[in-house]
Amino acid sequence: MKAKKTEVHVRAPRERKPVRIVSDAAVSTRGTHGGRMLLLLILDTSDRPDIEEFIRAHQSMGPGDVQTQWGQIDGHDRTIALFLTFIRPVELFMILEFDIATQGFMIDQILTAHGLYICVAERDDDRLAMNPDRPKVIVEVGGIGFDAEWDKLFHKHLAKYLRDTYTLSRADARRGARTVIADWRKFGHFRMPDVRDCTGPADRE
Amino acid sequence: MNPSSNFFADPRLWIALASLVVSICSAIYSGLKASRALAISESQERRRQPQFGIHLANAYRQCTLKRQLFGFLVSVANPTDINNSVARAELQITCLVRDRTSVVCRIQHNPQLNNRKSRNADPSHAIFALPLRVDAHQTASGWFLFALDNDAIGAATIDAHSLLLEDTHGVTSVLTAPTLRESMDESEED
Repeated sequence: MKAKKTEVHVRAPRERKPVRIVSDAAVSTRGTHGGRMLLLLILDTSDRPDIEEFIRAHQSMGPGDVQTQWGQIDGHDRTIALFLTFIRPVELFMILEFDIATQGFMIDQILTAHGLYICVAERDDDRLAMNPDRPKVIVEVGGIGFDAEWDKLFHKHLAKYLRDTYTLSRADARRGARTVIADWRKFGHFRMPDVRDCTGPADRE
Repeated sequence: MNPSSNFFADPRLWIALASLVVSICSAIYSGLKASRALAISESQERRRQPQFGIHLANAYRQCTLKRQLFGFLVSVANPTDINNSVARAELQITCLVRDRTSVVCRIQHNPQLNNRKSRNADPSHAIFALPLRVDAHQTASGWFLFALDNDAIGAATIDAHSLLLEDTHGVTSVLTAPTLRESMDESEED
């Protein structure tokens, strides 16, 4: 599928810049999003107070609507961007940008789980373990026909990365990329058992 | 014999010229008619484009201890030739947060927020229930009610607000910055 060029209109200059990802984690919760393992991104919102407000307000205003679009920012050939346009309960636009070779597993996990969590970083070296109960918002990223294209891109860029970093031959790098991605996907498809599957012996009788 | 005098004396020339003039006139006349017909069909088509007219009759904002209540008594007019429905009514609130950054929230209409005290106990107008059917060339009148939790806006300042009505076709009509009658109710009662 040939990529289509389009212009994205933003309301404020700050929305043009991709939001920096401070750290990431994977969270799987029984009864939430089908128990899928969701990528959690801790975002640097030092120049995006609107994202902080959005996440804070979301805690009391309930679920809303979001439009998602995968793409590439002009001139950023080694990255993939996720354009998030939140419509309600808060109107907000943000760009999350991922390096295909080094952060491609994040994109893969978003596509596998059809969503991700976003939350605010409390410090520059923040980790989820420092405050696991922080407010977070689930963003649903529906199947929008990007999977097949992504699969090709991920294999190509990861093989190139392995070839350049570990001086592997072309064939070895391709094989390595295939193995790493397949192993990651086995892990990424993990799901918490459903509530119905966790009933005790007494319930099953 | 002069050949040019023969040429003009030939009646076939005059017949041809006359038919040329008639056909030019006919083309001009048809063009004018066609452009009028196009204008009429375009205006008919415009009347088939969904849109609502929103007219504000009364509005209030009441602050309670836990939340702010907003009410808008409006007439929703459908001036078009097609039947339509209001599928969604939202209050769009622009708040100012840190560094004067604006954040835009959208609150859904909640017909359960029946506060007669704030509505001046006006029973003549009902609270709208969505979806709200508004047929062609008809008008509906009633209240849209919204509640904004104080927790949701935190320390932010409300800068502006607009009423958004979205129809079945996804077309949004906007009532910008309606003037509000403001009051404070420190009792717990909402």
